[in-house]
Amino acid sequence: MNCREFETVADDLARDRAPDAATRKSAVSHLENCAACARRLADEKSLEAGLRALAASYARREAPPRVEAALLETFREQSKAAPARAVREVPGFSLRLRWVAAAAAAAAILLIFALSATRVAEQTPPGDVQARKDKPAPPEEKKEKDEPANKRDQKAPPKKKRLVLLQAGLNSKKAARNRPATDQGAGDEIATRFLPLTSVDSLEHMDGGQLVRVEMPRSALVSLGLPMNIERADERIKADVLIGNDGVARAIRFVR
Amino acid sequence: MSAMILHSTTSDEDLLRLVSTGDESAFTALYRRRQGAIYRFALHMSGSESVAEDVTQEVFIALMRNGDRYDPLKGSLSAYLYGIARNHVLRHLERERSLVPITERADEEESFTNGAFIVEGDPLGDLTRNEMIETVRQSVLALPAHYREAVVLCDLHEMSYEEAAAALDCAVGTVRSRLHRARALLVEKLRATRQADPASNGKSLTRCIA
Repeated sequence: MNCREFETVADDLARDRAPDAATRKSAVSHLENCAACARRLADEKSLEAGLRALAASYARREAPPRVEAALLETFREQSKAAPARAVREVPGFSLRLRWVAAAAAAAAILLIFALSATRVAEQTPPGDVQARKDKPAPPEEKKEKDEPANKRDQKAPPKKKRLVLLQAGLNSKKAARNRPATDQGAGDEIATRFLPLTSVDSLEHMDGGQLVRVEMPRSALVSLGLPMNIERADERIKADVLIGNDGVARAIRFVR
Repeated sequence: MSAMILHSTTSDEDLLRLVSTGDESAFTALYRRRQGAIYRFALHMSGSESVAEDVTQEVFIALMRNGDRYDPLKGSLSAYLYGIARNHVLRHLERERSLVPITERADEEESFTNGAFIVEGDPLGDLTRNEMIETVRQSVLALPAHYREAVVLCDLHEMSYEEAAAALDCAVGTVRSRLHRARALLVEKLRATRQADPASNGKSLTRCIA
């Protein structure tokens, strides 16, 4: 075993997770002749001991009782609001009638929803779809981050329809014009793509938000790393700022 | 109370099934079984009790409302809960990074840390040990989030690579490489701390906490 190979197993050795006896034996014989790797292992063991002590010091820490109380209250309210989840047997005709009414209402909503989605999809030009791909994902898509990915695929088909509607809402004033980096407005308005103001990762964890139209001096372009004509620095430009539900500005696009 | 005793041997998955029928005692049993780990995960990740409390609450609200989204074929319920907690923690971290001054958080952390770790008996030894634990804790908190979660799950929560991969929704190899890199960063950080503090020079961390 050489130093590079030892490096790959040092943390496993410190954590007593060495893959097999042969690897361990090989590592030990390497340590006898390599002071640097011996120091490395000592550091790893030191870290391991520190981490174990940290874990032990937190071992009894739990959520305070008020969290359980609040959750139970929510649970009871939910059970009251949705008795069907709590009731195992349907005892009467009136309840069955309510189910039929609810199912009919749900079907009607779905029908309206599907028709709207179809209409929007028909009106949305191909160029606009390309422009949308370059934007931060809309808030509804981010809600899926609440759950691990293995659950997201279960709801894929209805989600697509909702996305079409949401994106259409954001683009409701845009008309078709196949421009790679800008969106053409319904009137004379042209918008750039959205530029992230925070890390791209933060956009992925965004759970909702709204678009706010603002005016700013042209000189603000410089702070975003964009080119600016110095002679027009005093002019004002319009922009749409995408603000998350937490009040933080996440992305911006410029409008002309 | 008898229902709670009965539920002590019921599996997580069966409890969740009962929760979906409105069984409050099943929900309570599931909460009491899993809340500690979720709370500690959020606490290790955020360093803030209030965030850990919020995250714990959000995780179990998600479970009571959308528990039917859990698929046992894709991992344990525990990993599923960690996955939800992780998403909420990352959101909180993002918000905090934008809004909360670092000094305020440091004050908050210091206040609960001092209270939590002081033990009667050997004040000097405890002080040294607490300082070392605090150094490790701060070093873990200073890691980038994707490295931190690997350390928290695999080292502090003693999860296997497979369990951590299910919770983080990534490949086992990714967990291994992140953990390896995270530990290398921690070793560097702790070595630098020891060198910067002449009082602790030459002392082994192992000795201090032994």
